[in-house]
Amino acid sequence: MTTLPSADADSRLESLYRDQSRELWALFYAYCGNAERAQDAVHEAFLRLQQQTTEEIRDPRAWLLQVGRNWLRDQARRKGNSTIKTDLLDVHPGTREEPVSDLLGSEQRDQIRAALQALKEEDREALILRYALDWSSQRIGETLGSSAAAVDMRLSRARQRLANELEQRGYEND
Amino acid sequence: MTERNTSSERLSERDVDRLLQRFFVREVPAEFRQEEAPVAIANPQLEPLVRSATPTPSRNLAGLLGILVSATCCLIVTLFIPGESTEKVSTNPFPVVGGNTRPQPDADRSVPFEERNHLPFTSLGNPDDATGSETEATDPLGPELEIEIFPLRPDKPRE
Repeated sequence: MTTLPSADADSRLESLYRDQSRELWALFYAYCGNAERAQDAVHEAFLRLQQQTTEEIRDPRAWLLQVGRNWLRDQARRKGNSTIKTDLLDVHPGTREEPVSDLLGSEQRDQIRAALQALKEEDREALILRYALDWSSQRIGETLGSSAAAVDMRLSRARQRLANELEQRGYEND
Repeated sequence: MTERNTSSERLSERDVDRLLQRFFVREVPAEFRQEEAPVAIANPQLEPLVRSATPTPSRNLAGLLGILVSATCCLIVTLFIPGESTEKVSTNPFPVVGGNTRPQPDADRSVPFEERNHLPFTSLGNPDDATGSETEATDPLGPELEIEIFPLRPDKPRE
């Protein structure tokens, strides 16, 4: 049980951020399909947790997840349901982080985002936890409440479905 | 609705695997990438959290290095400082001979050397007391023999 207004609340919040922020981002990204909006949702959830003074929070992770999703839903209502984001102003081609040969074009990235959003949420979550966070099947299973073998099967099916979705959107394989 | 692409190769599972790896290299914000340096974020209120959440392998390495340096210095100091146990200067003027470890009497410089007795002593008592009995030795190692060389006393007849 977490009671926020205490002498070491800041250190506990810091520890919680360190432990949970990546996973929360991945789950918010699976929910909304927008990397920046998911990042904002993480920040918003922790800000509200920091400002929380009256409620005793039994499960901070679940609380943060719920607050973040609620915020994303509100944002979607205000700005529309567009989840496609152009990233033309992102990292310039040929940077140290990503050689030119590894770059995906903006159109390809948009197609991948759209295809991901077309999947079932559980398939999307499994793919994002694996490829965005590089989690093992066992760890994904612990988060999603299934076994490592079941996660492997889900990932395999999710990849096949994603391939179908990409083909339907005219994705051209390099 | 986009037409189904039949001209290009169908995407295999392996293709999708490689594709997703490439996709998420840029898709994940720098803040949430593993082993990445912290970057400035839009919300300054959360900046302390972000900076502290970022792993700092250099800090851990520096701590380990400090421990190693300290341990090495302690070891060097221990080896090179002369310890009390390494060399003991004996103040006993009567060095033990033949493994005898009983305490030796202090050298009496006034007594001629030839009269000094290097053997352990056992007091036999004063013969003038005529007790006829030896003083019991209290030394668990054995009685101490105290041999005194008396000059002949001309004023007392020999017994």
